[in-house]
Amino acid sequence: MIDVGRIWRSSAGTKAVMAATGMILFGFTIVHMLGNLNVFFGEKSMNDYGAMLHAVPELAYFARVVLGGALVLHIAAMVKLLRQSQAARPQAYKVVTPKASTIYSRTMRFTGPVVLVFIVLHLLNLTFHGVGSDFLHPGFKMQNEHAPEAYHNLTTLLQMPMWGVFYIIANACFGFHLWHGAVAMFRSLGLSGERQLGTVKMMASGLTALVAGGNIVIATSILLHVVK
Amino acid sequence: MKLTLQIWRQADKNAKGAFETYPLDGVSEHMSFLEMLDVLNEQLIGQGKEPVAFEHDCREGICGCCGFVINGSPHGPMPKTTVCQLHMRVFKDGDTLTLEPWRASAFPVLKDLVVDRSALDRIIQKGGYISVNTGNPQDANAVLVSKDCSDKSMDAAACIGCGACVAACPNASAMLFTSAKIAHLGLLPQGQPERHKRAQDMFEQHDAEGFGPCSQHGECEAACPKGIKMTNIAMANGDYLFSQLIWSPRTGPSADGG
Ligand code: FES
Repeated sequence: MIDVGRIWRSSAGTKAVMAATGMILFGFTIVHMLGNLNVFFGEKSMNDYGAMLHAVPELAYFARVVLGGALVLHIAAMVKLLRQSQAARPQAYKVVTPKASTIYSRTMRFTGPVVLVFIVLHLLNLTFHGVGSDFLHPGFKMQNEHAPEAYHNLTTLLQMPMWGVFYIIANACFGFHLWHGAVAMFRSLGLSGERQLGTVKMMASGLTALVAGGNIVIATSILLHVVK
Repeated sequence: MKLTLQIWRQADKNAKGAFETYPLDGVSEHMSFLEMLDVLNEQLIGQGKEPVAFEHDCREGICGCCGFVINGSPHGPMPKTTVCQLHMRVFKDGDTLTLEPWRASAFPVLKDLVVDRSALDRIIQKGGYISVNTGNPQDANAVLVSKDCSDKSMDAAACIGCGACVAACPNASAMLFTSAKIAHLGLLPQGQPERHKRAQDMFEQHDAEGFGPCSQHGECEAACPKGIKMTNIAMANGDYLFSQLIWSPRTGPSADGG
């Protein structure tokens, strides 16, 4: 039998959980970004896309449960590994000269929480509006009971400079997080030997640039009223 | 050349250590780093002081005894070089060098720059072996090994167990060491029978010793005096996950004694 507890107790097992959940979440953000490109094709296109996502409510809730579960596990793994890491080096060096680690890898523990705050606010902003976001910003509309007016809501939100800038910064952090994470997750799962490493790096960097860059382009275009 | 050395001094395992500063004159650029410390120690002994303790044996870069951190770099600034093979010509006259022991809770400092690395031995005891029948040796070419596997295995086997990977890792993880041992045997036909149990047992011992998790920073690979590759970590992770999700190797003797 698969001993889930035993896997979780080992650091390599926890890393595998972190990597696998990271993969699920990364996969989602790719689709999410591509879908949001609809904003460039006008109001109808965006709203139809929004309505399509809500067409089968059961599916939407299933996706939410999977993504929410992945996120919770991803954070739990991070907390466990961070503790283990701190316990492993109780006394810091006086001089540290990094050679191979990057700004992306060394800031994972900071960009992660920024992205988490972003996710919470983003859900309050655009998914659960009407439930608790009135205090954040007024003027959201629902197309019908299930489908929000995606275009109106997105543009209203991101045209507010504070939110627009916050979304851009948060997505830059997200890009940093992925730049390291998207390669590391393959290595943690044992999927990148010598032969695959080059391909994995290229694919991961390309997709990271696509997702973070795409999101930033969308937010910037709305903030600057290129898309109204 | 003239140097200022800031060296971590610690009387024993339980003492509280601190940095001490020693000026040193007349260092030849042809000296190895350890010879430079020998000169310092001669002077300290002449002054009736305690010499600086550091570990060393072969001084040829093959035994893995030596090693401490110089200005934030394990084994100093030269890539793929142990500190015993490091020469003073890589430093400049007037340099200040900070020498620290490997820092990890799994490597307690015994004295000054000497740490206890027996945690690595205990990881080896858990799986760094293969089981063979005793008796007459087999014919040398009876078991065929592909060139590719033998090359990769030999590369992994170059690990001298110095602990620089742990010292360099921001998480004090020993994954480069552990994975090199797992890959070295796991790549060869002789290592197959215990391949997945090896990964499981050595990984679990790695954690039990208090080493940190691998974040794939890559500092270990950069610090390794033998050029051990992080691809070994990916392979060992694969073996470990296989052992947990698919194969499920036996952990102890079975109930029926078999
Ligand atoms: S003393 Fe043997 S490797 Fe340096």
